[in-house]
Amino acid sequence: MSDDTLDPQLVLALSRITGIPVDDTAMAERIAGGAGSAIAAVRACLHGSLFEHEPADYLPLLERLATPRVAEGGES
Amino acid sequence: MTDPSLLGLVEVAEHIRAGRLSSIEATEAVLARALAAQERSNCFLEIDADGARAAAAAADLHRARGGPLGALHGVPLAHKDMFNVAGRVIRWGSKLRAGHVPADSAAVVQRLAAAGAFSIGSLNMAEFALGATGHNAAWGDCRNAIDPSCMAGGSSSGSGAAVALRAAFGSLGSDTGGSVRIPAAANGVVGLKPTYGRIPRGGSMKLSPSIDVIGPLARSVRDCARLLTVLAGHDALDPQSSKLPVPDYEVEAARGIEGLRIGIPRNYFNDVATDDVRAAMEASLEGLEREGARLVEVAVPAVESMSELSRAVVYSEATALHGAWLRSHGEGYTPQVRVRASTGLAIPAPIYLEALLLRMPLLESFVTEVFDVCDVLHTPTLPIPVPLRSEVDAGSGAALWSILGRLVHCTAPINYLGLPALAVPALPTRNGLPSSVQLVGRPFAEALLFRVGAAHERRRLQAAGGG
Repeated sequence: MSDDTLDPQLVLALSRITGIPVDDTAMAERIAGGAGSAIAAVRACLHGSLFEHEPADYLPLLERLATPRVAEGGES
Repeated sequence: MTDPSLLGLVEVAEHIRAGRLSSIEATEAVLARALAAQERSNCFLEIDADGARAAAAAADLHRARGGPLGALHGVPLAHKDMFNVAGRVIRWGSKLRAGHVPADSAAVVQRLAAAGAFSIGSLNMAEFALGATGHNAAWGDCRNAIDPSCMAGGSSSGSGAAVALRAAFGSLGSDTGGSVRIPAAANGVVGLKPTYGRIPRGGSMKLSPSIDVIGPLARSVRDCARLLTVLAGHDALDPQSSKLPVPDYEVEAARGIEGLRIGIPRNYFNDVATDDVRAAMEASLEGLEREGARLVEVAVPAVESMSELSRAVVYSEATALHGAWLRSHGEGYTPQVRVRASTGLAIPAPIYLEALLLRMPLLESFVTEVFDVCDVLHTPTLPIPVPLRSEVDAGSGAALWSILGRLVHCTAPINYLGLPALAVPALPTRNGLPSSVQLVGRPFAEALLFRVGAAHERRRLQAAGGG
């Protein structure tokens, strides 16, 4: 089992590098909590490469899925 | 005629069209309601009474001269404070934007104006739409329309409360994690989160452009359907708006549901639902079955992580959009919202992109596995009774996080996938406030959602009237 926690000190370091202010350790802990959960979820859902996908394909995919697929017998 | 504010949006539009009611009469009625609503719920950030009266007088004059009348001619609305209205201060719910006056109106405001509607004011919202409870430390919290001790829901808090309190016949909100559906549910009105790309977004505040949608709130399914018919469709200035044709949703909403398959999720959506919410959902399903629908159980794939996957996208994009202001005017954010706007700071770029790319295979499997089995998925909008405002205050301790997570439990996964979802009031829970059914469909299946929503509404009103 991996360690999903994100070190608040890392958040403070990122704050220094990016210039986006983080006031104190308490604020860093809250950011670390929210970001850590999201990162862990993405990692847990990855089961293969993503070479076949592009963000620009999203709206066309929604449009394609608007129509129920036709089953082999001809019924939708 | 009775108090015009008691009419629905379609009714008032038809009365104005037929000359049985003037726009001025309708507008005076909602302005009177708006003042009372403001005192009760703090749902407005600004009431533009003079502008509303001028627009109403112009609408009446236009009709008297025999001009063509749009589907919403002379109807007063009010919108979340994030859609540009030319010449009006639009704050995005923040003190940082208090002096911002756009030169042009948002695409959605232009479409409503082309149909003859106008706005009587700007509605309260979560600061930068970053909150699901109706709290706003900058402009004051929006309170629930039915019970002001309860949360109004957010982020389109003022939209839900104002429509419920009859201070507008309909309203625009936006939905990135449940921000139309949660306030609709909390205040007992109808709210639609359309398919991503169904309504153009030009001139509207961005929170997370890969997920944001604009949606209408109104007091009935039919009213909501008329608003979507006006709002939907491609905009050449918005490449993320779909070119798929727009049906007449109001006509579609009137069709029956004989033979439609209503999906009851076997997993996830009802897992955290309280007994009273479950009972309300069962009553709704029973009503739909009596309307001729067929109930089927559905296993919903991979939904457990979707709220967090959605957050990976929303946090990353929000921090990118807010980055310049966070660096230069961080003190202008209230503390809670600054944390939310800054969280993307700690999400690596590859994780953000993985979350974006992952949703395509997840969407495809969700649509295939769910909508091969049913036509519409039936879930609660909120799995818990509407909480007290004190229960969702920032200082209310560890229980807060559990409640906040449950508020978006049923809504946020749908945002991640980009699917349409309609929230419709259902039987009350133990605190006396209504519960809400969420109807989810395949992409661009809004017409189907309106059909099922109207059937549910019909049954609920019959039950309430003893019919």
